[in-house]
Amino acid sequence: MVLISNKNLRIAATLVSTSILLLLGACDIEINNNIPDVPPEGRFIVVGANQHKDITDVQVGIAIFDDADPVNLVGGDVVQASTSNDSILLLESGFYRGSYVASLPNTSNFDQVNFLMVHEPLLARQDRWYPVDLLNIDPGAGELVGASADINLPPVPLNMSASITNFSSINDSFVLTWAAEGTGDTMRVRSAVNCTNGTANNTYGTEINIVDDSDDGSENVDLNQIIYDINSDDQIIKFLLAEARAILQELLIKLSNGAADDEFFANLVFINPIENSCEIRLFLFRHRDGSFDSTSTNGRIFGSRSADITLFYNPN
Amino acid sequence: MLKPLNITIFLFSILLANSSHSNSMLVDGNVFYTVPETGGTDDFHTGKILGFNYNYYYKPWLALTAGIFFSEEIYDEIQTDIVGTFQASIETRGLTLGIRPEYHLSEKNKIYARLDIVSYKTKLIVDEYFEPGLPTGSSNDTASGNGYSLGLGWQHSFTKKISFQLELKNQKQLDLFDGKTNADRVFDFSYTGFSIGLGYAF
Repeated sequence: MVLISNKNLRIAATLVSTSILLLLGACDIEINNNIPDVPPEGRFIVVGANQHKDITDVQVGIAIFDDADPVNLVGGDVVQASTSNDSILLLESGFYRGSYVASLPNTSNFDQVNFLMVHEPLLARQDRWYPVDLLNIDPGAGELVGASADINLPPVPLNMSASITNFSSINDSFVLTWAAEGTGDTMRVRSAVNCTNGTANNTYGTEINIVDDSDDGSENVDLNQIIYDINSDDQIIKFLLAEARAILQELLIKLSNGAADDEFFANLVFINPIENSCEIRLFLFRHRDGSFDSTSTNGRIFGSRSADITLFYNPN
Repeated sequence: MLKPLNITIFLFSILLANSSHSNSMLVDGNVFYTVPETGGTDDFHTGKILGFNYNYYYKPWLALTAGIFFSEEIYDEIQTDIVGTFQASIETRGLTLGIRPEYHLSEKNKIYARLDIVSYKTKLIVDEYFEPGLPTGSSNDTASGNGYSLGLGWQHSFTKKISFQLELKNQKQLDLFDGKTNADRVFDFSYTGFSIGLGYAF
């Protein structure tokens, strides 16, 4: 599911895309706007929050499903995310169907983020052009109002570095290190890759399988999980999908002050990464599970903080 | 304190009382095709406003005008946000008072400008629809106030009495719902478009 983006309407607009099926050599890649692993029956809620190193906003998002169908929040029901100092309503639609996102200010770097379903018929209509206080049609609070969830953001991964930063072969590997916290959190490594032959670009993201996802401060990474050969039948690359892709997409936009392409991870074109120069932004996420107020609530809830470094691949 | 419309009425009365050119009058009826705009996220369809003016020639090149206008219901585009799907519409009516300076291009053709003070009453209607299972609803409110209108037109006389006129026009209705809603919710309506009409001189 999820995440981010604030007042940037351009982001919200482009995050509503349709399913596309891309055939890349031996790789079949499906990139769609359905959150994966939503059970076909019952209510399922996905909640996430991430704060990137040196960014003062927490990117928050939520999606709710009933029998695998997105539950649209209507009539003024809206999710509020808050820290001790600030709160924000999740009024923008996210990339995934039924998801709502916002950027929660967190200049004081609080760890606790609370989510609460509220009924705010006027605030939810605040972007309309007419005086909503005079022309307010309020159907009343929905059944979800009052539901809540809590996320405790883990520490940001510090001292992130790679043993090698310039590569010439996809058979290379490197050791990724960071300052371990040892608090039981899990780690995720993802990449945002931009390969170019001078005239065309191939941009995509990958989820890197790590042998040990514990917060132990070190992980060995093979470059063939980041750079691939479109002519090879023996791919081990795992393209970035689902909430991980949404998080990284928004991070890139935020880190570049909007200069990054809204469709960065969908710009898969037929220039072969293994044969071209590539810039790799490697992201390390420290994940921590959150909790719903009701133990009967089924879903996924997590908080994370992230950092990144830049690596380079040049086959020559 | 005198409002702009009251000042205009006052000036209008003085000019009429001192009129030295009273042998020419014109009444005209026009259909004004316009797309209202607030400068916000509205996206109105083209609507029609019917207007009638009485023009009294104070000088051969200058008429004092008084008019009335009223619109059909003009619809905003259907919009959907996190709350629901809604459609706004407006109905507006009002009075105008102003001047109409003219310049004769030929015996049958002239161009003119129209500068009016406007007193409006505009009704704003919102219909809203939610997910199945939730009731739909409608709400409306009416704003009154003043504004102004500027026009530039061409008049062609078919006969000494009957003429056709084509006019480019912008009417501004200022500060809708001022005093009824928060200051940051007050807005202006701008009606830009063209009108076509017929005039009868006597």
